[in-house]
This record gives sequence, structure tokens and C-alpha cells, in this order.
Amino acid sequence: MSFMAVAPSQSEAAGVTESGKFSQTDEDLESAGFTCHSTIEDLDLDQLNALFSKVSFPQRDKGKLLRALENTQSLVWIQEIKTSRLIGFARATGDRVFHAIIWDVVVDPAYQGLGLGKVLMERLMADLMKMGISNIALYAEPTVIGFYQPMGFIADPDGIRAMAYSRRR
Amino acid sequence: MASALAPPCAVAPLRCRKLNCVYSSGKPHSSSSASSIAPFSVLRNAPLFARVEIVRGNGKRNMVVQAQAGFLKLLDGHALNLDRSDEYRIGARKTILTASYKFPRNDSPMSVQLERRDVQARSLWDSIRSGFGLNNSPTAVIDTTEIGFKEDVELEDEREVVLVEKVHDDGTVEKIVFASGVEVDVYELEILCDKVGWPKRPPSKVAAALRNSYMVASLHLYKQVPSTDGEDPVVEKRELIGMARATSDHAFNATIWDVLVDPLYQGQGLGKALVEQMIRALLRRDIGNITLFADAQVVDFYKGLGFEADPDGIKGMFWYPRY
Repeated sequence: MSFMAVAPSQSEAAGVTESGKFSQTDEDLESAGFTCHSTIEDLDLDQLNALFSKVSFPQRDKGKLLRALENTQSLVWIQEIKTSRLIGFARATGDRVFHAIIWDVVVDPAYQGLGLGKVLMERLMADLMKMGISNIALYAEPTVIGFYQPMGFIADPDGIRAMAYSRRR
Repeated sequence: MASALAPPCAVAPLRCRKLNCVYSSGKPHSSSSASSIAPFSVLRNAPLFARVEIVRGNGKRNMVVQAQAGFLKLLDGHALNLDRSDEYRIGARKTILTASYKFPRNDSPMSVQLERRDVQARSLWDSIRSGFGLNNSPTAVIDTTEIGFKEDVELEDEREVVLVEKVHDDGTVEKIVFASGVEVDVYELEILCDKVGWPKRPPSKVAAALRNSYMVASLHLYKQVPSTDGEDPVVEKRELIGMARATSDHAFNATIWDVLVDPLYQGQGLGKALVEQMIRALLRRDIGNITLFADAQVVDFYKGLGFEADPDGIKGMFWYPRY
């Protein structure tokens, strides 16, 4: 199944946000004491696992985690400048042409409520739009459906259902 | 249940790995060992089975048998019945492949020939070349052959599985083969997408999408016509009749896309087989989370294959979808 999504224009946040601008620019973030990264360079895997554990995501084997990140199409992570602590993360996989799936969107609970989740999503989506991908999907736990909806995500469009293989052997 | 006996896999170019034996309740076939696709010799009413034991370098053993549903038995040291297709996962780092066969007590001896197939020096599978049978009280193992291969060679190779085989009266053999490593021709795919009524996509983009997919699984129809002078049969035609692909981060998650089967070949369970084999291939590579998005009308199809909709209430969400 594939949607014939209309690709918005290519300028940074255009098409991703309603205003066409990021909700917080890099300068805004820096003033607030954060920096944004978009490569795995300098990404500390132990910190990433620690971040995952803070939101009850499973801990990941580091070798596998590295392999996953190396085979991830786009990623964004936010670091607190003062402590160099990793406090936000999101990534997307796909075929680099037609679709992308967003995974592992995480903000440290101690830093939630600052709009950083939105920052992560906006930048990740802008990166995907730059690649020409507008067929973007994700799997949302019930508690965060409301987080994605204002960004333009629609659950079960046209009756489409997310399914996962369940090994019950 | 009478069905044609599936000959063992032919030599290259098919590169078949695992044998799909089907049980024959008809007359025994005579083996013609000269040909590379000799049918199996089989005893009347004797089921066929194969036991493949993988011995890992550290001495740990895992049993692996890939069985055609309903027809093979799995032996793990105790006789046990397998009434559906089953597979045991292989861990990584296989080093020794041991194959053993059990022969019936009272019947004429049958020869066993193991063939080693090396493809790109990566891995090793044997084709089981002749027939053998087992009655319910197995005898001692008659022959074992150990084949070692290099350390660190993982048995997560590309797989080719013969799903359907038809031998026609004129000797023509048609096979439908699942493969997860055979390259899919973009133009053949375009023809196939046309047949199922999918919108056209630029071939260059499709080629890139396939290249960037973690796994591209295909169903090909091979048609072989026997040559008259006793040489290997000539592969006359190869047609793409099904495809599915998965994107993945190569470690944790995989998402299946674009599952399609040529309408002419639908209704035979090929779509099911395609997805099933793909799942196995993904599980073999240790991908723990296999996901997909299902149109409303195929949700039940995937449920039948072991998928759960909205697991734990998790919802699939799409960004501004257009139809």
C-alpha cells in the first residue's frame, strides 16, 4: 500500500509546521541551554540506553544499537550544553525514497514540557522532507497519540491498521 | 493425500538450499541419478524426512528442519509428529553442519548423496539427492557426513525455497521459488505492479527503494523443459510473480511493504507463503520487531499469519496521508 502524498515545498520547516518555521530555532535552543545534533558522531550509546530506561523503553545491546543507528536514515538528538547530557532523541528508518518510519522518540521526563518533543519531530521531519519523503508513519502508544495529532499525524487513516508479528510459539 | 513428488533442487542457477519434500502415496518413482533434478526414490506410503543438526563451535546444538506443512516429521532424538510447518531458530556462529538420515529396516538400500553448495563462499547447504524413507521405528543411522565450514560464517544466508512444483506429462517442470536474496528486476516489477493495478512509479526510484530495502523477497516462476539429449534441463523462462520487501534498521525493527502476488497466481496460498518465508528470514537475522501497515481488507490475512493489530493499543499514524 502506498499513499500518493503531496510533497510540500523544500524549505526547512515549510510543510512540516503550520507557520513554515521551527517552533524553536537553533538559537532559541542554545539560549535555553540545548544543542541539536543530527549525526551519530559524539552520540553516547550508554547515555542513549540510560535515556531509554528513563521512559521504560527496553535496554539495548550496544552492538545492536550501533548497528541500528548506522542503518538509520535520519536521527536527531538534543544535548544539554551544561551537562553534555543526552536528553532527547528520535530517529527514522526507511527506503530513502518512498516511506519512512519514525522510531524511538524520547524526551527525558525531567525535561518534558519544554517543547523539546516538538523540536525533535520538526527537525526529523524536515530532514525527511529534504530527501523528498513525505510518506511518513509511526507507531504511537495510546498516551502519545495526542502528541502526534497536532503535528498532522492521523491514526488508522482509511482503516489502515498497524500490525506487529507476535511470536507465540 | 496424493501429490507429485518434488524432485530435489537442481544445480545452479537455482541455488536451492532446502528441500521441500512432499509426501507421495502413489507408486514409487524410479530414480534417475544422471539428471540433476532426479526425482526421489520413495517407498510406497513412506513419509520423507530430513534431520539437519547444527553443531555450534561451543558444542551447543540446535535442531533445524524446515518442513513442508503436513508432510515432514521432525526428529529431535524422540519421534515426534509435526503436523504443520515448523522451524527452529538457528543461533549465529554455526560451524558444523551434520546431516543424518534414517533408513527403513526392510527395504532395498537407497543411496544418499550430499551435495555441498557454496555460494559466494558464505555458507553451506546440502541438497538431499535421493530418496529415503522412514517407518515409525527408525533404525540406526547409516550414514553421516560432517561438513565443516569457516568460523564466523553465519548461516543467515539468502534462502531459496521451492514452494510449488509441477511436473507435466511432457517432462516440463514448473517451479515457484521463494527467494530473499535474488535481485528483482525493476522492469519485471513494474509489469507485476501493473497487473495488480498499482500506480506507476519512476523506475529509478523503485530501483533505489529496492536497494535501500533490508530485504527484498520474491516469488519467481521457473519453467524448465527437459532437453532431449540427456543433458541438464534448460531454464526456459523465469517470471516474477510475487514480491514483498522490508525496510529495517538491521537490528531491532523491520517493516514490511509492498506485498503483491500476480492475480493469475493468487488463491494458491502464495501470498501467505511469501510473507511467512519473509518472516522466517527476518527472524533468522534476529530482527525482533516485525511490523507492517495493513489495509482494512487484509487485516485478517495478516492475523492468520501471526500478526496482531494495534498491539498494546499502539496505533499506526500517518502524516497527512493522501489517497
